[in-house]
Amino acid sequence: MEDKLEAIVDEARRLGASYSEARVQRNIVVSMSSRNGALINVEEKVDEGLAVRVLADGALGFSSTDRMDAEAISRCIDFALSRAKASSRYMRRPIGFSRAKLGSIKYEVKEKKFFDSYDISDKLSLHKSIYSMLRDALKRVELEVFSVEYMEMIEEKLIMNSDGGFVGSRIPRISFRYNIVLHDPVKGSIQRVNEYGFSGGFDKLKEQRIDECIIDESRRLEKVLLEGVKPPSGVVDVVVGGEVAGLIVHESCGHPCEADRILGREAAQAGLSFIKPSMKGVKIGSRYATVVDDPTIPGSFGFYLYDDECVAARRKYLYREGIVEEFLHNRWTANIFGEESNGSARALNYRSEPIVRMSNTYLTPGDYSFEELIEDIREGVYISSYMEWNIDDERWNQRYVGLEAYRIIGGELRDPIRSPVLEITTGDFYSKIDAKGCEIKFEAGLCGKGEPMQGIPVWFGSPDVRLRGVKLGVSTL
Amino acid sequence: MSILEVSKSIIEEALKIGFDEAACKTVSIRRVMAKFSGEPTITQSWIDICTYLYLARDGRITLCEYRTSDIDVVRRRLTDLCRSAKLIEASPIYAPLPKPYGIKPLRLVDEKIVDLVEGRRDLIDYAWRMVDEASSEEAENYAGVLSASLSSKALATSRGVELHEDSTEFECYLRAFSGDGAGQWAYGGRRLDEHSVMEVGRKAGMYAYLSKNAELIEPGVYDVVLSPMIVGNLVNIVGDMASALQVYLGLSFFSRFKPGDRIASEAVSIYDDGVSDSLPRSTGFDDEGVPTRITAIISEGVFENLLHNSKTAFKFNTESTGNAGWVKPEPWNLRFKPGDLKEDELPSTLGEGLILTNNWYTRLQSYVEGSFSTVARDATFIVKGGKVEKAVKGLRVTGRLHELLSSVEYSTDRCYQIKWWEVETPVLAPYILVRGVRISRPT
Repeated sequence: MEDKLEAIVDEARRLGASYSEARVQRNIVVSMSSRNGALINVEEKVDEGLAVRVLADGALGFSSTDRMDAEAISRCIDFALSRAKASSRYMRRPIGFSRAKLGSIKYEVKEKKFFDSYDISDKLSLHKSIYSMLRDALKRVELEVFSVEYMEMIEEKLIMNSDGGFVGSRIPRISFRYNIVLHDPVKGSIQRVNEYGFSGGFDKLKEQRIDECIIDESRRLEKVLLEGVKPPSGVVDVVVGGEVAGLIVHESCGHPCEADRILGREAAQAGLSFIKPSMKGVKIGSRYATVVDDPTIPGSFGFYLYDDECVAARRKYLYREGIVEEFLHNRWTANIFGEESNGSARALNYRSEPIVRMSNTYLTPGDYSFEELIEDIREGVYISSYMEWNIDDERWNQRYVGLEAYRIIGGELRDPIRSPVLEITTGDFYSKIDAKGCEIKFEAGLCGKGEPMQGIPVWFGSPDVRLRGVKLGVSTL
Repeated sequence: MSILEVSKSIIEEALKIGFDEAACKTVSIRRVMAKFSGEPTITQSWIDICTYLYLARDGRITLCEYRTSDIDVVRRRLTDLCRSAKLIEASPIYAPLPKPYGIKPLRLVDEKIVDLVEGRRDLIDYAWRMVDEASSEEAENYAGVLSASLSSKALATSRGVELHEDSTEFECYLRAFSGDGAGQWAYGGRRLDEHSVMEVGRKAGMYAYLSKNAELIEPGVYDVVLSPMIVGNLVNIVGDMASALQVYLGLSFFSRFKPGDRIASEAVSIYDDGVSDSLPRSTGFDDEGVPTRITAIISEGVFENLLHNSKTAFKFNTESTGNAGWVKPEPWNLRFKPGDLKEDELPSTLGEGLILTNNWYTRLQSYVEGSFSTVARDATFIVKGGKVEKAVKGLRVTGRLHELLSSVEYSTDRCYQIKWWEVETPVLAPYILVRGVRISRPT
């Protein structure tokens, strides 16, 4: 296969590409859907093919095919080249790629046991046992539904480009996404949709004791449903739980630091950024606002060591101590900014162009225990989890509606509250942080971007953070 | 071998190996896309054949999707799949595949789109014609996408269904900028309707120019006009939740209602439409070989039907609506029934309120309760005394889906074929006027 890739890269160059790249990618996904512990169906997907990307006459062309015969490959190269050339007459300035540390390497994540070495009934038993434990645990409300989508994924890539890059990789991933609806005839319902995701094998789910996590949380949500009161309105101190703060960091630091978004490439889809090209070094928050994107965290859902342009991945400080420090780059954006790519180009499958993406984005931890975070709060709120959330397309105006949340009075956690609304600007969020917990919590998700849409596995994480003087809203729903 | 013969041969093999039932849909697709932002950012093209399989044995359901150059890989997988099917349990929604119907596939090919797919005409040139239209409305910058595809679909089932259909599809959207103003519009169809493509440019450009110098306003309760772009997005949520599987899984506000319940105002009728041949996902038959049709989800405010395949229909004790998905019924195209109001009557009929032209990020606090918020994007205007006063910004619509639908008072007489990033299922939608909508923003 390596010879074939080399021939494709060379042929594209011979036909006029100033840069060429060939990627063979196979994604295998096996999933199981269940409702109340009963299996609805099993699904297997195999997605395998060739992607060719070229620079020709200063324009970028991409073509993919699932056929690997000579005719299909030739047509693939021709389409990428001819369509790039056709669009070059509308270019204002030719596209170029930056310098970068290109790898020549193969690497893989090794799961303890292969997915197929487990019996399918072992996997289904997790659905069944959690449902059974939920029924036992929830004594005061009706468990209306517990549905699960379990997925195991293997991503294999072989990438070669005309600048000497060559990377082969194999990364298995696992995710467990569930939906729980609890119902009470008087109080109504409360719903939780959540996902666990890791790189690695089936053992990850057991290691992380997701069954215990789901049961414990459901007991707490039962209490929120039955005993939750209206949250305080007006200006209060808010402790934003690691789950919520992690999403805030992903949305209001990670996305606006994507250099392609800053340059407007995604303007018609995922939108723009409040960060402009000249804003490196600008203050965005308090000294506690340090946000990192790091693809190299072992076991993480967003794990990789080399990006899909063969550039070595590394840790990046997007915000450091409240200052905008680094953007996420691929080789095109890095070239415009006069920098080296920091290895942030990712492609979902062989039908996808590599674009600038996050990996595992998190707010760095501080040194407070949870008790210390709340001990001097006279009147406040702790928001542990959320369901509804959104943010404007420049990543400035955002909203998160609490699911599991509590009042804080006199430095103590008190009654559960229903649906507090944190509707805040990015500037206010990062400026109002005055303390951070010492334990970080990571959440898994599929982050959407690109056209066609690419849902890429990521982690987002944060410790609990304390915000001073936040105007809290109340959902009237 | 034709793709129908491929499908039939895989069915034969699956039955020989030991499955009781099988269906195989093979789709061959060629697609091109031009993406631009001020200048072309990339042109993309795809050539694929994808094989989709439904396999059942003693009520146990396995689905497969293979994009691979080697069809023998699919055949070899069947043996393993049959072995693992013995280890799983019967599905609670299992029902047998339906018998064949007499179906005439639709004529869904536009040669102008074929020319784009095959490179006889360049998609990027259409992009710049659309951009020129935006510029004629004083737009200063722009970003967007055009895409064209040519597909062949073949379906065979173990009940004897053998069907084939060719189709083309065109989609475009443009976001235009003028100073700090922005406007966006979209079009999707089975045909390349040049008038609609150019209108995308004009409307995006016009909204961008008119929305310059937007100001903040106080949150509160407003009467609002929602554009077809927003109606499209919200109706996508309604359409997905109308899938009977979503109700079964606890992911739908329809789970709180039963057919016959009033869940919207009389001005609201929402249909799924698989058969209108101008709409982008029209098709003569679903994945079970059941003929598609027009299904009323909400008719004059009354909840009429969920969308079903034969499995969910069995579970819900009703009939298939021709929306398979072998496990999940899916809407084809959604239509919001137009009313009598003219578009130029919207500000005067609104009196005092807001006009929102685009949105994104609709997210739910509870699927079963339908509680949601969505962020206004691009041109937004405040109307006073029946006239557009100025552009405003930074707003968010919050509410419950059925409450919002219950507050719809008018819809305009013209519908637009909308399909873009935030409207994945195509929607034919008018402008609608909704009373008493909660509007929020950070304060």
